[in-house]
Amino acid sequence: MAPCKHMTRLLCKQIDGDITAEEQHHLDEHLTSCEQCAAAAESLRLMKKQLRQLPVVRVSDEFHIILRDRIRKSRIGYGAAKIEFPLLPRWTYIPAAGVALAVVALLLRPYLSQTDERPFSTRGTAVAEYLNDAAPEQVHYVIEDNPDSIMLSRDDSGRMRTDSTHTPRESAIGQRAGAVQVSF
Amino acid sequence: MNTAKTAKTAVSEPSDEQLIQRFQDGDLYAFEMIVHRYKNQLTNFVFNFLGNRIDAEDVVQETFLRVYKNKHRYKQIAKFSTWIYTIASNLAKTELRRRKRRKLFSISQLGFEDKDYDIPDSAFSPEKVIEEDFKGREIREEINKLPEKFREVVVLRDVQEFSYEEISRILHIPIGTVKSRANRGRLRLQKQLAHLLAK
Repeated sequence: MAPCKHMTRLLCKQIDGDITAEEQHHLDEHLTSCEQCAAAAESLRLMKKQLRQLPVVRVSDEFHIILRDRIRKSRIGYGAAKIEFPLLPRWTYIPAAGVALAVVALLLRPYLSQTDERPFSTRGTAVAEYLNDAAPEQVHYVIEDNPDSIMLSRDDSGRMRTDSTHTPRESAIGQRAGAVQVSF
Repeated sequence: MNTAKTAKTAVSEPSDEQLIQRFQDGDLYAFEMIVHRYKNQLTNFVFNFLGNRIDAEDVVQETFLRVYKNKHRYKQIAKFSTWIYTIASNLAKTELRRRKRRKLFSISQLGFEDKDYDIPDSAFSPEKVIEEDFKGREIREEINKLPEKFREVVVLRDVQEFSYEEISRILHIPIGTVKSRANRGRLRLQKQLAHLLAK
C-alpha cells in the first residue's frame, strides 16, 4: 500500500489542502493508473479523519485543586496578591539584605553583649556551690586560659571553693596543684 | 448588526492575548480563564505525545504553573497559543527523556473503566462508543510508537490542527523540516494503522 516515492509529497499536500490545481491534476492522472497510490491516498485521507476525531481526553476533577495547591506551594500565592518590590532593582537585594542584617545586629548588640556583672568572687562562689551540689557525672570542667574563667580549688573537706589567691589571668593551667580553671 | 454581534462576542470572549495581558496586569480571573480554555486541549496534546494520562495532567499543570510564574516573559509579538504549547512541548520532551533515563516504558493507562472520554457523536450507541473507544485507544498506542520527532509534528498537525508556521514556531524548527517530518510521520503511521484503515 506504500505510495510511489515521487507522489508522497503531493499526497500529503492534498490532505493538507494546499495542493495547487496543476499538482492536483498531475496527482489525479497518476491515481487513475496507480492502484497503490490510489489506495494510499484513500488510506491517508481516512487516517487524517480519524486523527481529527480522536476522543477528547478531559482533565480529572482534581485537576484544579492540584493546580491551585502547586501554585500555592510555589510560594507565590494563588488568589492572593503577589508581593513585589518594583522600586528595588534585583541587584540591590543582596546589599539590602546585608544592610538589614547589620541594623538588626546593632539593635541586638546591648542584649548580646550583656555579661554577668556580679563580682568575680560572688560568681565564683555560685559556681563552686553548683559544682558541690551537682552529682559528679553532671559536672563538666572546661579548662582554658580565659580571663573570664574562675579559679577553684578544693578545701580540706574536699569541697570546691573559689581560689582568690590565684586569678586565671596570672595562672598557667596545671601550674597550681589542686586548682582548676572553670568557664561556662 | 454584525458589528454589534462582533463587539458582544469580543466582550464575552476575550482573545488569549487579551487574557494574558489582563493577567499580566494582575487579573487572576484571566488566569482562571486561560486554564479553563487550555486545560483539555493541552492535556490531549501531551497525552497523545506521552501516552500516559497521569503524566500528561502533571505536565499540563506544570505548564500552567510556568505560565503563572513567568507571565511577564510573554511578549505580544507571538501568539499566546504558540507560547503555551512551546512550554508544554518542552516539558513533555523533558518527561520523555526522564523516562528514558529511568527505562520506564509506559503504555496508556486509560482503560474501559475510565469515564473521561468525550465521544463527539450525536447518535449515541453503546456499541459504537465502545468501538470508537477501542479504535481511539489503538490509534493513540500507534502514535506513541512513532519516533519522537515525527510524533510531535503529527500530533500538532493532524490532531491539534496547527498550521505548519505555528508548529515551526512551537518546536523551533524550520517549516521545511516540519513538513518533511509530517509527511514521513504520516506514512509511518499509515503503515502502522493499516489493519484499522482497511476495515
